[in-house]
Amino acid sequence: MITRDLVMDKLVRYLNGQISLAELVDWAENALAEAEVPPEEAEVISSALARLGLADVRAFGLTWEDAQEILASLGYRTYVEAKPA
Amino acid sequence: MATRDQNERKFPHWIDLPEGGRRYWRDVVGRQGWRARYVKEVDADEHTLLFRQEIYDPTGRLVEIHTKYPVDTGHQPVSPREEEADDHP
Repeated sequence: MITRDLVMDKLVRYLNGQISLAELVDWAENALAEAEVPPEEAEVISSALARLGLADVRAFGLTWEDAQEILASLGYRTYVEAKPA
Repeated sequence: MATRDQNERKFPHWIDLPEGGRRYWRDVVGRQGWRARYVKEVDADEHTLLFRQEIYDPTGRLVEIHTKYPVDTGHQPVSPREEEADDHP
């Protein structure tokens, strides 16, 4: 079952460099194709997955603002924190 | 495998195909008029036969296809002849 939390987690993992763009896109495409979503959240989750699945297409991409918008649609606020390397 | 209910929730548009199958699709609006369409075709038992992304330029011309299933082909540019032969919604 794909939940809002799971989509958020994948996107944040990508933003934190823990997974690649290709991995994020592949996951989103597969989830949109076959995964189960909660009925009451189907539209917001499907919309986010569809958008993430296009992140590797030049005409779409995935800017920081896009990520913020997707996370906001999922019910999350974003902030950036920097730590010493 | 997604059920019919699941597919209807995730893909807001569909048409019934011969022999009980369906073609579902979902559109995404991109930057500066670019558009994408996810297309999923299933048989009468909702088994996936095809899943792909179609990329349309601002004039509405199909310029790229990424077939994910049954074989992941990656992003493939579309020639004008392929576009003419493509007759689905």
